[in-house]
Amino acid sequence: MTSESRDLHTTDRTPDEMLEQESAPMDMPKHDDQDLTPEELAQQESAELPDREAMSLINANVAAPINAAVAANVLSDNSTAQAIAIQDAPITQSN
Amino acid sequence: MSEQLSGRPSRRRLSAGVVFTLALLLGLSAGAGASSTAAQTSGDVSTPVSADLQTDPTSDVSTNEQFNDEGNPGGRNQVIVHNHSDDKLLMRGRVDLQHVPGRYAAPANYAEAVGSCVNCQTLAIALQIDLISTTATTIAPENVAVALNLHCTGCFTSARALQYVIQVDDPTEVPDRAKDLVRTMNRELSVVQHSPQITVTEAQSRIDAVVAQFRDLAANLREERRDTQDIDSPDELVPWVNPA
Repeated sequence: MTSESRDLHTTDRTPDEMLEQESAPMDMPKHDDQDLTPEELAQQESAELPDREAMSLINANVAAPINAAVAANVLSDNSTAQAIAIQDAPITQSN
Repeated sequence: MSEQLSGRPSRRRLSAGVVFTLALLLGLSAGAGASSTAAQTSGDVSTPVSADLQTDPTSDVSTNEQFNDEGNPGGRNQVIVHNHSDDKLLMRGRVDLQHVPGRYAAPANYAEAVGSCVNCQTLAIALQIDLISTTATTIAPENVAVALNLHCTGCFTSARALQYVIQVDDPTEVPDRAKDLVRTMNRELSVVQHSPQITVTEAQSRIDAVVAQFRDLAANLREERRDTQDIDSPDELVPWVNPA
């Protein structure tokens, strides 16, 4: 057994205590009460966010009309199938 | 090896041809004033205009007006007719007026006619007017017509979908004139519906008249808006005045 392992086993601290000490910040004071003081609260500034549309990096307009007509005769005789789709959608958009 | 030397079309050209053929078959188009027509005939077709053709009692016409809230992109006007009655004319029509005030407008209009019978006629007519806001940022109206003869002999099957999208400053306003015309259209379609022995030619001509009225209505609504803008303030948009 090496001297290093011997030291670990001879310490008085439990493994949990050792872990807590290693993970704790070195120079941060530990507060028992996590609430902000009125002075700290006064230092915080807040502002209302603008609308989602104004915050968007992409302010795009989309115009995507779809117009389709399909006609078919399947296993039919002496028949006519006629499909007519008319769409009038003049779209004006501006930013 | 180059395409000319090999004498065979390249894969890219083949795929372009397939896409072009599909586009032709489907009649797909997009944009303002789009019109798609697809027709297919089989065998020796003589348009059936027999005088003894009877209107199916389940024929139906209706009108609908829907006010959508800000978050609703618009309703769906759907007319589906499946005819299984021999020697019968079955027709359904629906006139739809949609008010879409939100920023996202995507109303849909769909007509489907399917004939599976002998010597029968099937007509589906979907007419839709969409009043949408001038501030809408996403506008995606959808208009589709499908006509199909399936195991059908001596059949005439027709589907018509007409959709007019009109931008107005206040889509929640109800144009009285539009309401009057919608009622008139409904009356005309009802005549077709309740005529016991109407021929397809007569039915088609009445429907054509209704479609003409429908186009006039849309044109009038648009014209009224343009006139109002021109007269009151040529340089900026002004609230659309109800043409009552």
